[in-house]
Amino acid sequence: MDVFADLAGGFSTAFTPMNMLWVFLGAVLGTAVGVLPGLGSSMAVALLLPVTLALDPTGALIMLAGVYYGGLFGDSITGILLNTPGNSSAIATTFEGHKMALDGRASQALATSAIGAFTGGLIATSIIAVGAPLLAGLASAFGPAEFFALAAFAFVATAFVVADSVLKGVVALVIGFTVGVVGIDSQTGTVRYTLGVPQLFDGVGIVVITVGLLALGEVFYVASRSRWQSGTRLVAVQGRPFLNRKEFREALPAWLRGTSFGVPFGVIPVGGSEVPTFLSYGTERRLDSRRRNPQFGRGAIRGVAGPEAAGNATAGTAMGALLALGLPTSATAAVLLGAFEQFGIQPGPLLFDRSGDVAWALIASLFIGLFVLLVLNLPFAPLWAKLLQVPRHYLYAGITVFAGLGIYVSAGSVVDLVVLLLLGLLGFLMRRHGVPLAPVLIAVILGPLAEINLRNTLAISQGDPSALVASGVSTTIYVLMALAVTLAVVSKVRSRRSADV
Amino acid sequence: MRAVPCDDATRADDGTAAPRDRRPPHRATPLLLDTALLDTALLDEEETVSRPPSPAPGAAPDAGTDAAPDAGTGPAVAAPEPSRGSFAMAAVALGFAVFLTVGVLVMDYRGDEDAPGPAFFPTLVLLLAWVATVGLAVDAVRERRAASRRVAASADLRDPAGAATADATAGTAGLVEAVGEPGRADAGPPPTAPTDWRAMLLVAGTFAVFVAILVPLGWLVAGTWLFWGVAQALGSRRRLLDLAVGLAIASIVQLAFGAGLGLNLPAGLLGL
Repeated sequence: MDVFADLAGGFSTAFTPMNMLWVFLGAVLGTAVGVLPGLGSSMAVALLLPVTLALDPTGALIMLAGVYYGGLFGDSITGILLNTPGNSSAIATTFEGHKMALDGRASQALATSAIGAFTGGLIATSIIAVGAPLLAGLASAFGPAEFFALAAFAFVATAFVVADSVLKGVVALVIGFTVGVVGIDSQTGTVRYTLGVPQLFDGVGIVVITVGLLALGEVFYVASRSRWQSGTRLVAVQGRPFLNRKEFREALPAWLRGTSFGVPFGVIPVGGSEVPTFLSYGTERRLDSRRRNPQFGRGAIRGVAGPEAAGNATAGTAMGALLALGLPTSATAAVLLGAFEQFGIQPGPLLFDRSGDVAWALIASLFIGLFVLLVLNLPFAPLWAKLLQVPRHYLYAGITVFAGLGIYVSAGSVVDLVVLLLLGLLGFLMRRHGVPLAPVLIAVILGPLAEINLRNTLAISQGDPSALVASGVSTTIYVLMALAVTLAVVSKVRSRRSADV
Repeated sequence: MRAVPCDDATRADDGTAAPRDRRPPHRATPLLLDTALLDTALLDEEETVSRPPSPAPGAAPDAGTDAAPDAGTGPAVAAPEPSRGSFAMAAVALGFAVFLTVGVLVMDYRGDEDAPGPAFFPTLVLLLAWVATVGLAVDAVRERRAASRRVAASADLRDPAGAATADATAGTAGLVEAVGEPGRADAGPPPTAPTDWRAMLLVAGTFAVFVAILVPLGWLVAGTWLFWGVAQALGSRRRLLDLAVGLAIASIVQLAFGAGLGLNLPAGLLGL
């Protein structure tokens, strides 16, 4: 099997002392950012991207692999101990996890979540190690029309499924598309939407966009509500950080069920791991209610195990979709795609041919990162919780300083800082009015690709739009898209009806 | 104590709640929300719940319907301002629509007429932008009407907080419902709860000053200023300590990035 030979090659690249150090650093920093309330995996990648600019591409991507999973591990620590999940992917874990903590079982909850995240991530990463090259082989038959269909699917899915109102999803897409078209058009050299500012000719950098919308926007939002914030209570962690055999046996089926929910959702662009984590939570709860001694509501270990495994499994296969198709299925994946492009690496079907060594080193470091994170999180979770004792105003002041610093050093341009401030204000407004941010990121990243593929398709067909649906692949994608929209509309109508009773 | 308000809110959300139908139409059935919104919904729940609720949670024996949500609603100031939200977003959408339209009109390009040119894609987006603008404006008007009706209704019930909680619980509760499991609802102020504009503008202003002084005065001064300003705006009382912490952080960054990673930071005053 050449997959294993390639993977072995990847491991030999990743196992150099320097690269091991980058994975370790990435995992530590990713967990640290993930632990902070309100900051998740996508923000961890965005904030730490400038740091990686000083490294070579392989080292940088290896470090980002650690950050990627680290952010996800960190999320649930905050959720369990403080009842404020670091990110939406940890909400489902928080319900039972915080109850376990209040019940004096905080360390068991943390261990369950760490092992769950490890299990989900490990299985999903194994699947992408085997499956991503196959998927890439399949996708190498894709032409511009098929890629446009894929991008259109991602846009429609995020706008219709992720947003609570379709209009807000559309606004988010429009914002993303608009930011994406700024700069020189790559095909004709036409200058578009730069307002005559020469620094914008290359477009707005993805780092500026993510740090502005996610980090600075969050700081503004926190400031706007700080008057209503009182102190939150941190649950102390005591006792053994390991699970006994009974607890392990109790959690095991939930870890596996959660993983099976998470894996397929990584390749469907519905904006990340909220859906699978809640599906897993719901399933565990329903199964639990049939048992003789229901645990849910009193701190059920399965309520932590399932969603956590599902969340990380989704993140794992999302990485596979990103590598093999160049398709970001979540906000974090979109930021990572931007990071790839910064280093001149274009994920997609050709990645394994063109930069195979980097791709395999990245997959190998995902494995290594998971083991590092298990070690970092299982015994040391209480130490991470200490981060939560830093006063809130220092935390956010530090984030602001780091955001400004990162943007300035990545391009050395004050114009970028001005754009950052404007995007931060936009991110604030969007948060305040409940407009989702994930579609913006996906539109910014995929918009330009979609535009090029759309124009190429129409140029080849000399303006005949039927070329967009000419092939079986693209027709299939559009049919799936119609099905997804129908499903979303039906479920919205149904829940509206049940709500009105 | 802490769990009680949540459970009450759940009950209120399970269909028995009268405030349900008083929700503004566009928030009626959120299938999924974005990261930030969910984060803040939970964050706020934590904050409001950990504060002693104005009426004691157990003080309303006829709970389960209107009275219960009070516990999770928190301070009375968190009453919604329902109409402003969508108007602001409609204004943002309008801004983008105008920007895109003007951009297409002034775009200067040559190209053959057969293949779609650089204005093709922006034209599609601007159509989308105008649709969103009109849709959001219509939504906002409808919402304002619904809001005035709601205010009248809740005045009768003497329960102004009920409507607010119904809005708020729609957030995460909707998510849970969407996957077929009416789980715990999370009551927090809706995203349009009153905004502390002063603190927000202070942070934004601090950042603007940072941008202006970064190159002339250098990283050490600008970085210290940024840390100090944001910490103060977020309610820190200790001016000198903040200044010292800010200076320490800026210095560490200067050393780590400038000397360690070899990235250029403006020296400013130090370079003179």
